[in-house]
Parts: sequence; structure tokens; C-alpha cells
Amino acid sequence: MAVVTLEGVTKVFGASGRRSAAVRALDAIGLTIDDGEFFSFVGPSGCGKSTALHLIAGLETADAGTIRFDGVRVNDLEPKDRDVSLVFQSYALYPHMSVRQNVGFPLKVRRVPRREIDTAVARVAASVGIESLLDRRPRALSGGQRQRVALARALVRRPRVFLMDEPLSNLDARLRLEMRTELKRIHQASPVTTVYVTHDQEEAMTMSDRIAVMHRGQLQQCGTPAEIYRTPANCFVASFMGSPPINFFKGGFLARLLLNDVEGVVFRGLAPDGLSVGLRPEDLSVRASSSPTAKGAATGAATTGPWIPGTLRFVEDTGRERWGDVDCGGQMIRARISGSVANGRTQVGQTVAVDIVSTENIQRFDASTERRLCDEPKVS
Amino acid sequence: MTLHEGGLWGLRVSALVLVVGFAIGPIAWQLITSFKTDAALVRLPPFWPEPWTTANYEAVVQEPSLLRVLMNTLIVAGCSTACSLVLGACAAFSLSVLRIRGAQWILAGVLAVSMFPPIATVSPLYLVVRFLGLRDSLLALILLDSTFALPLGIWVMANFFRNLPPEVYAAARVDGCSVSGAFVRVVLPLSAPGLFATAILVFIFAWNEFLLALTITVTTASRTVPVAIAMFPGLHEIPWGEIAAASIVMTTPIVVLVFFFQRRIIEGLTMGSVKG
Repeated sequence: MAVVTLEGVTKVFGASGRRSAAVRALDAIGLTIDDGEFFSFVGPSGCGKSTALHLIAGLETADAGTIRFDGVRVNDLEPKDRDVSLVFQSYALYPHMSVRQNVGFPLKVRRVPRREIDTAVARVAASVGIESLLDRRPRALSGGQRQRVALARALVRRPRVFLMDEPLSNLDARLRLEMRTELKRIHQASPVTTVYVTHDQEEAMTMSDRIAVMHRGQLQQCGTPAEIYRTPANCFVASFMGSPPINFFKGGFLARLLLNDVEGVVFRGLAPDGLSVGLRPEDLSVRASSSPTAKGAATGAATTGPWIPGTLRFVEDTGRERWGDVDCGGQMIRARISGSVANGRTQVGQTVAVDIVSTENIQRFDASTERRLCDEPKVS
Repeated sequence: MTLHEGGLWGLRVSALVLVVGFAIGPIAWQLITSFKTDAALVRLPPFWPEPWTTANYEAVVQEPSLLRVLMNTLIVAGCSTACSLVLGACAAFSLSVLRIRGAQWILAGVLAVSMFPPIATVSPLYLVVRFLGLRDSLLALILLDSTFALPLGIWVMANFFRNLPPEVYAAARVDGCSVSGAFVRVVLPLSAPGLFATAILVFIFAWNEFLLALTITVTTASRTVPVAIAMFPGLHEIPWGEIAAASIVMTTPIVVLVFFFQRRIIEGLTMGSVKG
């Protein structure tokens, strides 16, 4: 177990050739992963998250910066001397070995006595449920079974850092949920420092103690799932985290919104041109509206808050929830279709009103820098 | 069957016959020739031997140097294969899996070197071999054949290593292997089909190599099969029948060998490592 520290870690690919072809896969990343923490790198493909993992594992060398385990610089250590284990997205099992040999390989290479290997393999096989597969070859296994074998191979010794590179992305949806729980259980049972890479924001949110959101090789924000969701540092983080994604309002549409009830709540003292406002779909609610212009004259007593008129264009039904895309004068807004409307006959093309249910989670960003604006005391 | 389909079928069959005939024609002719009497040799077209004779084979088998020559060739081809496989695998590994600067240029250089016509290098090589005192020795042939086979071996194996899933090598490194450990424990076993393919190619090359063997060998102490066949004793005329019989006898081992190894090549050993 170890504290992993990255200080100004930079990795440039293709630097030896033409300068134009060089890609900054990682740009001066600095963060600390605490002992025993479950830490996730999340971001779209090509954001540098896998590169970060490979640098920690020692499979790539950093072009600048320092990587430390418990304060000791490990930049120049070979992967084998860093005492980490890594689960690959493609599992990377050894096809010429049986499952037993695959799982025991990290111990065999380290010249652990035969008997100890056998007990360790039996113990880890039992913990991930592959006892019955030990004498098979990887090619005779299903995807989920291979995944478990890869996990067992990584767990067979107690590494200082446990690395996982999109380990669940090749599994089907149901198995993915199952393995998510399994990984959390394993981490809780023996809290080894774990660095997890995923492009799935939901996976990162549900599993991690802390998350680092990456984009184009740069660290966008690092914090707990709640911090990242509630107070995203910039527009990218706000839009990447959360499903369905956040709605952004800016420019002319925002100016028009200011004429409605919204203004007093959100935009005190700010000119609409410089502002970008984010509202999560779950904080918005679609309700049927008889007249698009009659403000506040619509149904129900709970509609005293700010609302936006529009036309329902699409409905997405997930079973548990229904989401609607509402065309509000050229701006599409994704919002939850709630309660009575969901049960009733909300129809595409219908005139609706989008209520701003909660104003607490309204996100404000500078439209040009896309950075978060400091929270101001809200006026009610 | 419509007329069109019939035409297509006929086209296919004739194309097939043409290709197969082209490939096995010479071998069949050789086989037929080896069973003919001298008188029947020149008769055209070269169809069925009439009368049959095994005299040619008897002459070949009674040739005292036969075993010696076969052993020579086996040793030369075997050792050359081993040499170029060991050296070539190491070179190919570093040029493909390890990210060496300018690997492409080195590979291109390797290919360029192998493009020299052998005849251009024979005289200087002969001088070198004589200087080293290795004339008429198997060692000289092994060294030279290995050298000439290396470019091909490096290319085939580098290509094979490059197509292995890179994560498997990375996994071995993380699991505790050094570079050479990962090479021996994981990369080589996974590349077995590629190694066998290379071995066969090099073995056939060394078995059939004629020019260098002719230049360097003097006596049956180091003579190899192609040279021996070319020098088959004929007092007044060229003994075509016996040469044909000798060719058949001496080619058979390599044909058997290839058939044996072919099954190993086809075995897909890399299945099941990564997804799919």
C-alpha cells in the first residue's frame, strides 16, 4: 500500500519526429492519491487517463515531472520493481498457460515456493469465484470469466498499488454492474491503493473515493464524486459528469430567460453575454401547459417557481424515469418528465412548460473561459 | 446449370488445372524420369515410363557418399536454422516490441542488404573463408547460410511479434518479468507458429543453397545435396535418370519435414488472450 504522488507529470508522444505530430498526452499533471484510496481517472477517449496509468505502472516513462510512491521517486524503476499490479481492458491473459498458471504467474516470476503459490492461487480463485476454471485455457472462457481471471492474477499478491484500465468496458451491461459491486467489495475487504481508469462517468461516480476528470491531457478537476457533480470546475466537467448531460444556456437565449422569473434567482449583477448557465435535467421538470404565453397561469399550485415555455420534441423512457427534449425557442432543453405528466399522455409536439424545480444546483460559468464563477449569496 | 454457370465452372476448372499443373508439373516429370531407362528418357512427350525400371534408384543408393551428403546437408540446414532463429528472434524482438529509435531504418537496411545478388558476394566471401581456414568445412557453410537467411528471418519474426497483442507483453512486465524474461516466458511461446514458419523457410533455403556450397566445398566431407546432385558422376554422358532419382531421394526428407511442421503453424496459439 502506498501514497502515489504525481508532480508536474508530462508525457509527449511522437516528439522525436516532426514537431507538428507531437501530442501532449499528459500536461503537467499534479495530484496525490492517498493510501488505501479508490481513485478514478475519468474522461473521454484520448484524454490521457490510460497514459497516466501506464506511467504509474512504469510501462511508459514520463518526459517531465516526478512520480512518487510513499514519497520515494519511482520514475526510473522498472515495472517489476514498482510492485504494482494492473488489470487490462483486454484482460491480456497468457493464452499458452492454464488459468492456474496465469494466476500464479506473478508469484512464479518472483520465485515464490511452489506450495505458497498453490495456496495463494486457491485463495484468490475462491474470492473471485473461478475455482472450477483453474485447469482451463483462457480461450475456453467467456468474457466475464476472463475478466475474473485477470482480476485474480492482479490480486494474487498484495501490490503497493492496484491499477485498473477500463476493466469492465468489455463486459455486457448486467455483468458490468455485478463486477462493479464485486470490485468495491474486494477493495473494502483489503483497501489497497487503487487507481481506476474509465470513460464511464457513472462507474467513476459510484465506485470512487475521489475522481480526477481529464480532458486533452489536462487535469480538469480532482475531488470527491459529490464535489465534482455539485461544483464542477468548468463547463467540460459539468457536461461530462452526469447522465443525461447538463443543459447549458448562454447568449441570446439567456437574455430572453432573464425576462422571465429566473433573473432574480440566478443572475444577480451579471451581464448575460459573459455568462453560461448550467442546469441539470433532474432539476428541471416538464409539465403540460395550456398556453405557452400565459405565465404562471398553468395547472397546479406548485408552479410558482421560474419556468420556461417550449414544445416537447422527443421522449426517452428508461422505465424508471422519462426524459423529454423540449424545444424552447431554438434551444433544446433536456428535462425530467415527472408525476402526473408521465402517467398521462405527454405527446411529442405538445406545448409544455419546463419548471426549474431546484435552483440550488444552478451552475454558472464564464462564457469565454468556461471556468466556474464563484458562488455568490443567492437572493431569494 | 445455365450456360453461363457452365462457362464459369469450366473457366474455374481450367484455371485450377493450369495452376496445379504449373506447380507440380516439374516434380511429376522428375518422378517419371527417375523410373525411366536411359533410352526412354529422350522420348517426347514425357509421359508414362515404358518400361519401368528401378535401376536409377539402385545406382543412387549404391553411391557411397549418399549418406554422408545427406548428413552434411542436414547438419548445415539444421544449424543454420538454429543460428538464424536465435539471432533473428532477438533482433526482431528488439526491433518490433521494444521501441528502439530508428527501428524502421534498421529493418529497411536489413532488407536492402539482402537484395545484393549472391553471385556478387561469392568471391569476397570465398577469400574470407579461405583466410579463416574454413574452406571445405561445414562451419563455413553454416555461418554463411545463417547470414544469408537472417534478413528474411528478422522480417518474418518482427512482423509476427508486432502483431502480438502488446498488452500481453506489458502484463508480463507488470507481473514481474524483466525485458528478457517477458521475451522468453511470454513472447516466444506465443510466437511459436511464427517461429516454426521462419524455421521452415530458413531450413529450405539452407537445404537448397547451391552457389555458396559449390564455391566452398571441395570434397564429399562438406558437400551438400544440391552440389552432389549437380556433380553426379557421369563418364560419357549426363545421367539424367540417376540425377532425377537422386533428387527425389534427397528432397523427400524436407518434404516430410515441412508436412510435419505445417500442422504446428496452423495451430492458432494466440487465441483467447485478449478479447474475441
